[in-house]
Amino acid sequence: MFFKNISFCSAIAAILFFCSCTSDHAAEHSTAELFVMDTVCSVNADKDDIKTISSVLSRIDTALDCFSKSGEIHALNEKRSMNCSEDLCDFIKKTTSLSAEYGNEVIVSGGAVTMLWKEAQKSEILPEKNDILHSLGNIGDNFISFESGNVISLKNECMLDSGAFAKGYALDLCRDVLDSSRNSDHAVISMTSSVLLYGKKPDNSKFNVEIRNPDGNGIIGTVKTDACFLSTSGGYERFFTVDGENYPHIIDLSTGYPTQSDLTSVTVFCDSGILSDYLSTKILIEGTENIENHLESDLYKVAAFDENGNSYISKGLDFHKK
Amino acid sequence: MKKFLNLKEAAVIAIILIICFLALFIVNSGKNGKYAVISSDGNEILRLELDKDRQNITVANAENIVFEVKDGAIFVTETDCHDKICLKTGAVSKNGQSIVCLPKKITVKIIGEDSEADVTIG
Repeated sequence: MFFKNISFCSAIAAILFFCSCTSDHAAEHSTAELFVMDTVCSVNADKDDIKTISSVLSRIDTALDCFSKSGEIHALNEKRSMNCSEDLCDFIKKTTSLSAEYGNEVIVSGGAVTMLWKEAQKSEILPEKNDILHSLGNIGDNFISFESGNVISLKNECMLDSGAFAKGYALDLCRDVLDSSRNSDHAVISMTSSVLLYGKKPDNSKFNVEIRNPDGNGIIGTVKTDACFLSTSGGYERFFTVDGENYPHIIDLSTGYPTQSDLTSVTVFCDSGILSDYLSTKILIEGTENIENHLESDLYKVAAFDENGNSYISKGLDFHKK
Repeated sequence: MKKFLNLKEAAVIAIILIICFLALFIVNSGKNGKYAVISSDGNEILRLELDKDRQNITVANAENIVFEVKDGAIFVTETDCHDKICLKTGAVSKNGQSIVCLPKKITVKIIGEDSEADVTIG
């Protein structure tokens, strides 16, 4: 009896001990932080996949970079015409195709205007009205010309700005990596404002997403979802201040000025990274006026919030307000 | 009828249970509470308990960013970066929230036991 009891207690001790250790031993997953595409990218996936994803993101970062001297878009904006990488050609074709299909509120060819505001952010001097009007005449995907081979030319003073599409496009490529390798049953890749939720979690539960409150005050709500891409657009902390006034970093290309949208945060859930990135910006710029049309879409789901604390949630989205 | 346990058996079982709970306590002691993990270029360089207020915290490679822990949250009080995004982020205290300084490749992440979120977006 004595040794039976000893065995019983030892078994309990062993079970309790091992239970206490389980949380840090999830498969062969690992987490890495990569500084790419003007953000910090957190990758939780199989170790080998992380290496491949790191290499892909680094390549795409160079192709879509508008600001560094080593950036390909920066070089194209400077040279006006050049032989471009397959990545950049594919990216531009996809962005122009999206804007043609869903609307030109967000375009890759809006750099003439957006760069004025980026300069204002640095210099803390607002752009002149005449400069904005002039730049508005130099935006539009019709100013991008695909020549023979991979040569792309920019007409007039058109400039490219990848900002509203780049992270989503990069996440699409990350999904391709995960699909090809089949190493990761599930993965979470977060570029702060754009996220890829991949595969099925070990316990088959849905992914749990927290949406940050744009005023910086904690969480606005949570969404339980299957694998998908999601992107958030909003003011958050990326505003800039000139003469004591705060300006959002998202530029409304119909006016040439920072958006005056009455929406403060828009998150789009769908099965394409570049589409979720594009739509979150477009819906934010459009404001509440057109939100009902987006809430009815079968192609994507939306969780949007306005400046008065109202929520606009697509039917079927498992959203819980905090 | 024989007793289920005699005194000697009960003492041994009690000792085993005490050892068992001590082991549980030791293994889990590092997981309890909430922490701010400060990393430089993806490598953890400092871990701060959020239940202890501290001021003027700086880390290697980013001496010009000053952190403060107060009332269970961490925030940046000073930075020499131009865009000051880390400063504008304000105080973070919830699991999964973060502060990022891109120019200096510094991140602050909150980790703890109170959230089931897979990711925080925005």
